[in-house]
Amino acid sequence: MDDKITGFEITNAGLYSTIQDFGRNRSRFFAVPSSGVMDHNAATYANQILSNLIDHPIIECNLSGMGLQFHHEMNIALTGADFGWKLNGNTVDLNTKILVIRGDKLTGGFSHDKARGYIAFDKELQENKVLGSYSTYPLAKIGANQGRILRKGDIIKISEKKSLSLAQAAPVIIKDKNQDIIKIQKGPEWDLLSPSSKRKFCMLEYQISSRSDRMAAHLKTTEQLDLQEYPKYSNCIIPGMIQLNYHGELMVILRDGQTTGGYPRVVYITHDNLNLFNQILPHRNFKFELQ
Amino acid sequence: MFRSLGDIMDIQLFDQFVFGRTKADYEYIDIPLLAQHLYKAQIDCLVDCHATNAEICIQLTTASRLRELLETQIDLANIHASYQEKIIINFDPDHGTEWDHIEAHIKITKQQYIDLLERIDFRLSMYGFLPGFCYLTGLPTSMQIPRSSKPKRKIKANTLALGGEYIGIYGIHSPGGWVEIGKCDHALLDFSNQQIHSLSIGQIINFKSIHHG
Repeated sequence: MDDKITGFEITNAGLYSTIQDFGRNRSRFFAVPSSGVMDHNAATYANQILSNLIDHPIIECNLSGMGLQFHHEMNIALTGADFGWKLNGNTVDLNTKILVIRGDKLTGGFSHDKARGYIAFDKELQENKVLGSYSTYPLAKIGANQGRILRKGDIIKISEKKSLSLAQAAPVIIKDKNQDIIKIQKGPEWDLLSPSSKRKFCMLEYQISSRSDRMAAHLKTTEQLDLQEYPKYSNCIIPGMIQLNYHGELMVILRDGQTTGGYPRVVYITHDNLNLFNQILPHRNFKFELQ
Repeated sequence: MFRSLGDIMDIQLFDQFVFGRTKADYEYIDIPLLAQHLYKAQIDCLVDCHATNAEICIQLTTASRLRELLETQIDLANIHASYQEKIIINFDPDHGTEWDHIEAHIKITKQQYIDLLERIDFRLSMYGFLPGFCYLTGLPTSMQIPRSSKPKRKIKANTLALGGEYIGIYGIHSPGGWVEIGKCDHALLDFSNQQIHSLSIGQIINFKSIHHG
C-alpha cells in the first residue's frame, strides 16, 4: 500500500460504477444531459447519514458492488441495493455510518433486490466539477475521474470536508415502495398510440432489458404496442419520458439520456417513481399505473 | 412588443418541467431563439431550458412557480440573433469523408459541391441529439443527402456532416449516421466555460474551405 496516498483505491470497479452528485443545471440548453444519481432518495439518505449536503459527490454502483481499499480513516455509508457488502471479509450493514481505517478493504457482489447502490464519504473527493457538477458523463468525457467510469487501480484522493455539514438530524428513512407498480402520467404524444395500445398499456407486464444503461432503459413486454400516427417533428425529452420507437419498443429516457428526439413520448414516469424505476433489476416484472 | 409567456404558449407540465408550443397567433416566433432568450435572461424561477424547432422545455426550480413563469413578460422584438460567423472547414481530413457517396447521389463533383456550400448562408437552428450537436438550416433540396441507415461506430468531434435537410456539426466523438464531408479547423465546444459553445442559436454561419485561400 502506498504511504503517500490520501484517499482510496478502486480494487474492483464493478460493472458501471461512476461518481455522481445531483447533476448539472443549465446544461440542457446545449444538449448536455443533467446526469446525476439514478436514485435521488438512496443517494440523499447516504449523505444524510454522514451529515453531508444531500448532493455531496458519491459513488454509484450499477447492478454489482465493487472493491475499495482505504488509505485514510473516514466514515462511509452504504445505501440502495444490497450488494452483500463486506469490510475485511466481515458483513457490514446498509444504512448506517461505518468507520473505516487505513488498510481496510470493502467488497461487494451482486444484488438480488435493487439495481443501484451508493457509497458516501464524509470527506471531499478531490475531483473537478464540470458545468457545476461532479457527475461523470462518459459520453462527453466530463465530470469526476476525467469523465470516465471507475476502473481497477483508480485512486480517488480526498481532503477534509469544506462544505457546510447538515445538522446532526436523524436521516429521513425512506421506506421501500412497491417496485411492482410504476406510476405514470400520459405523455405529450399519448394520443398517437393506437386505441388497443392505450387499452393494454397498463395491463401488460414489462421487464427492463439487460442492454439498458444510464442513457435509456429498453423495455420488454409480451405484446407489441403500436402507433396510429407518427410525430412530424423532433421534440424535447427529459428523464422519465418513455418513447415508443418504430419497432414497437419502449425506451425510458434516464439521467444521461438525450435532450431531444423524434420518437413519440407516450408516457412520463413522475420524478419519485423514476427513482423507484431506476432500482428495478433487469428481467423483473412490473406494471405501469396511470395517475 | 411585450407579451407574457402564458399569452404565447400552450403548455403541459411534467413535474417541474414545462413543455410549451406556440399558440396559433404566435407561430412566427422562433422557438429555439426564444429558449436562448429565456436561458440568458436570468429569470429567477428558471433553472434551464432547451428547445427544438417545434417545442420548448423549461425546467423550473419547483412546479409551484409555474404561474410566475407564465407571467414573465417577453419583449418579442428582442428575440433575435446577433452576428455572423465564418467557420474554416477542411474538406480533405485524413479520413472519414464520404464524397464518393455524395457525388454518386447528387451527380455533381466534390469541388462543385464545396463551391455551392461556400455561397450559402446557413443558420444555427438548434442544438440537440448529442452534447453541442448543431443543426444548421439552409441546405437547398438539391444538395440534401439522407442519413445513413447503418450508423458508424465513431464520428469525430467537430465533423461537418449532412443529414437530410440539415447540415450538422458534431460536438463530441460519438456513433452517428450523418454523412461526413469535412472537419472544422477548431473545437466549438469548451466544457470549461459555462457558455460551452462558441456558436449561438440564430447565428448565420458561412463555411470557408481551408484550401480556397
